[in-house]
Amino acid sequence: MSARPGLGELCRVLLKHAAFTVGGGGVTMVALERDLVEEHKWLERDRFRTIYGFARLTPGTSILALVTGLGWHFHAYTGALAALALNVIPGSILAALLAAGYEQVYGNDTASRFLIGSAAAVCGLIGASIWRMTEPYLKAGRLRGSLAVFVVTLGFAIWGISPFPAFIAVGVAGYLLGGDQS
Amino acid sequence: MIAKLALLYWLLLQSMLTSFTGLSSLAVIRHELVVERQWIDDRQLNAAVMIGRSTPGPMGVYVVCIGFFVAGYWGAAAGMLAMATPALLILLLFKLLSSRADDPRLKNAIRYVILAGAAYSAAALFAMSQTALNSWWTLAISVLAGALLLHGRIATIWILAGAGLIGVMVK
Repeated sequence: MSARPGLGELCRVLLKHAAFTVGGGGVTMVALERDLVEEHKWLERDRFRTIYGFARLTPGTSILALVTGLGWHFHAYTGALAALALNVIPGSILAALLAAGYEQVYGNDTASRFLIGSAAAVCGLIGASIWRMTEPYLKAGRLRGSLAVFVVTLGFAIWGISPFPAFIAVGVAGYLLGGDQS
Repeated sequence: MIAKLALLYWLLLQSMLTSFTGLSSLAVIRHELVVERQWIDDRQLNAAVMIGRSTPGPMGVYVVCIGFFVAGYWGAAAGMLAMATPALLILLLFKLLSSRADDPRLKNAIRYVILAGAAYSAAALFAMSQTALNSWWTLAISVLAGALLLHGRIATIWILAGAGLIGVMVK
């Protein structure tokens, strides 16, 4: 494991993802994990996933909670606030500008064709991020238990059960089953 | 104006505090801003969601657009603050749980929560794909984009830009 990053270095990596990663929280989580864990080796995958698990239990946008948690992990409150600001401001400015000109942008035929293509890509990115998220838990010895949790929760989602009680229920079940890896 | 911005922030914050995945805050926002107060209409709500999906960063950024439609750039700032505020609650979770981060029970609970999050994303993906993947070429783009994320080193914004260009050329 490399030494922890300086605040500037961490901010540079987080800003890169805030400005260039599109497709929502799951895709950003996978891209961040690849960068911080595999490429820079700034923290263990296990620790990254623990922070991500906390982020999923935090209300609101989980990817913002994740970067806040990562900032805090490396640089306490300064890191948390800097990471949060960097991940909120660029997208918000762009979103406000697009909202200001949306009649022109989204009413345009070429722009709408562009969006059809990019919407298809978003589906592929989300599918791939779901695979990357679940892959570490699908190894021998964990496969059956992980599949059971996934299928049961998918049932909750299809039946329209709100995510928070579902997350709490499976979290409590996971805690009670303890170190059971089956 | 300040009172309206404060109320807008509070209403958007409430919706974010009761949301734990994707666009689940949408129902609360629609009820408060479209049905109860008529500050925006459904067309603007749909536009906000579309912009949120095509902008870098979290999908929750659509609340910034909603803020803009209600009160211009100051409204967008209120939306941005409402989106950011709940993220700070993770620090509270750290205070409560970080000393037990290596507990195998807690690790197992986190594994279950991550799998549950993936399952909810899969359900959302299924709903999205009904409209987004309605031809052979959109399906091909989707498969290619997924493969590039898994095996490539390209920033996703370039994958989306390439897919958008294919959309312009093919349709």
